[in-house]
Amino acid sequence: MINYLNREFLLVIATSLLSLFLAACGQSGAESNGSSETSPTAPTVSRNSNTDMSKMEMPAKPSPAAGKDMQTPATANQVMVENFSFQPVTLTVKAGTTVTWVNHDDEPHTVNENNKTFKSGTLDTDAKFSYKFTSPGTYSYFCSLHPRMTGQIIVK
Amino acid sequence: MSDEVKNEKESNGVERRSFLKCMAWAGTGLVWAMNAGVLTSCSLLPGSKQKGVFSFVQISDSHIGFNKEPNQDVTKTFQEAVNRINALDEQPAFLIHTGDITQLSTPDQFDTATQVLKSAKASQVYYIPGEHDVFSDDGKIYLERYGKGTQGQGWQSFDYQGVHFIGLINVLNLKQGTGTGLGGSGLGQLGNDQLQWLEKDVKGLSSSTPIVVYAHVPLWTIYPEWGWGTDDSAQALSYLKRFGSITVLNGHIHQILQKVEGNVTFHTARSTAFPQPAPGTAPAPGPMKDVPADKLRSMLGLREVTYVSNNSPLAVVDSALG
Repeated sequence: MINYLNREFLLVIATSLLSLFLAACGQSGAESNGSSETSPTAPTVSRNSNTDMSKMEMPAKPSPAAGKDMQTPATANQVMVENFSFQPVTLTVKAGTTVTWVNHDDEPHTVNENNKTFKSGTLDTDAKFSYKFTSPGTYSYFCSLHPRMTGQIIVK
Repeated sequence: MSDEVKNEKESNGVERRSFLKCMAWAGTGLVWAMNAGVLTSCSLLPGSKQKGVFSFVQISDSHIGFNKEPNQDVTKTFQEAVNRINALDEQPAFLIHTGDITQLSTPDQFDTATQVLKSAKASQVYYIPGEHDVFSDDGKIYLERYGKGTQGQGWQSFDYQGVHFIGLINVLNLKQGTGTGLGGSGLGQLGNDQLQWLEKDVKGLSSSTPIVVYAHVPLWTIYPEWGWGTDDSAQALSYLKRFGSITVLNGHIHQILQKVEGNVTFHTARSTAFPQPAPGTAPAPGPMKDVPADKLRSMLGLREVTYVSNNSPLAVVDSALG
């Protein structure tokens, strides 16, 4: 499906300021096998932040010393959304655990479970989304804005 | 326009020295020139002044609501783009906005965009959405505002002075991408309903009809690792193969790229809000943050397209905002 670029390929790049790019570290793409055995139970959803762009209701951040310049270490039961990827890509938790996603990008993202078990709505910069996993299974999810961003939660 | 390039042709073509700055494509009438650090495409028509049957302007990726580095006032730069259009000697017949009108598809962001575009002298604006305009509600607000007179989920076609325009939507119902070819590809997609409509839409047209296709995500694969392509674009283009002149205008990647394949010329446009990195040159395709304030406007822009009434490709002129 992506073989349309072979002949007479000519690519001209309009910007010449490549040296200005942030050499942000971090891992590139999130890859997952996409398999999913999802329990259809509907656990409770708790939203810690909404789509409001104001940062007024940001919870006290754990003062990330170097902020986004460094890859933020994920704490237990947290998934960092940064550099257009979910970190860690695969998180294994016990049933009953609440997992929280935090968007550290200057770009909105979403967290959408493949079978619509949960759906975060818009997560702008610094917004969080939490979901309590009550049933064991593998929950694959992606960002509906950038569907190559994928991750999964394995609930034991 | 300030970005127009001097005609540096010798009698037998582009001289070698100029070729370092300009890349001319035989038969296309287009030239790329380095101008203040920015490659610009310009026509090689004598005098470099465009004289055509009519022109229209493409604007893209205004991202109203974005308020971070490198541009904390994207409404202002969007307004500057409209002011530039209003200052053109020959006013465009209409404008085409190729999506990502807003950052978060909220009603107030759409309102702001509408307000800015009200100041355009050209009263007609055609829209197609970017993923930012539809992702929060599957396009509900977008369609309420811009869906009038469109087909299906918002696609449309129209004719203007013998040119057939087709606005396609490739940002709805995006599926999870795996990067492995299993499941979704993470690219844009048109979908079967729209493809069937497209096939019917062009069926009755003479092959000499110039075709302009516009859509948000590029209809050619630029960089699949960042989702910069459309899954089923090859099928869409197969319906257009018989036409002598096909111009494809896209947005999404916030930079000018171009490709010629047979009778098809593909163009991506600059954003009016912020630049994005060249494919693969950064960890992720987000906004380029470290752009000096005095450089920002050289990386934003708009595009004027002129139809010159023959079977050659349409003349495309990209202008930076500063």
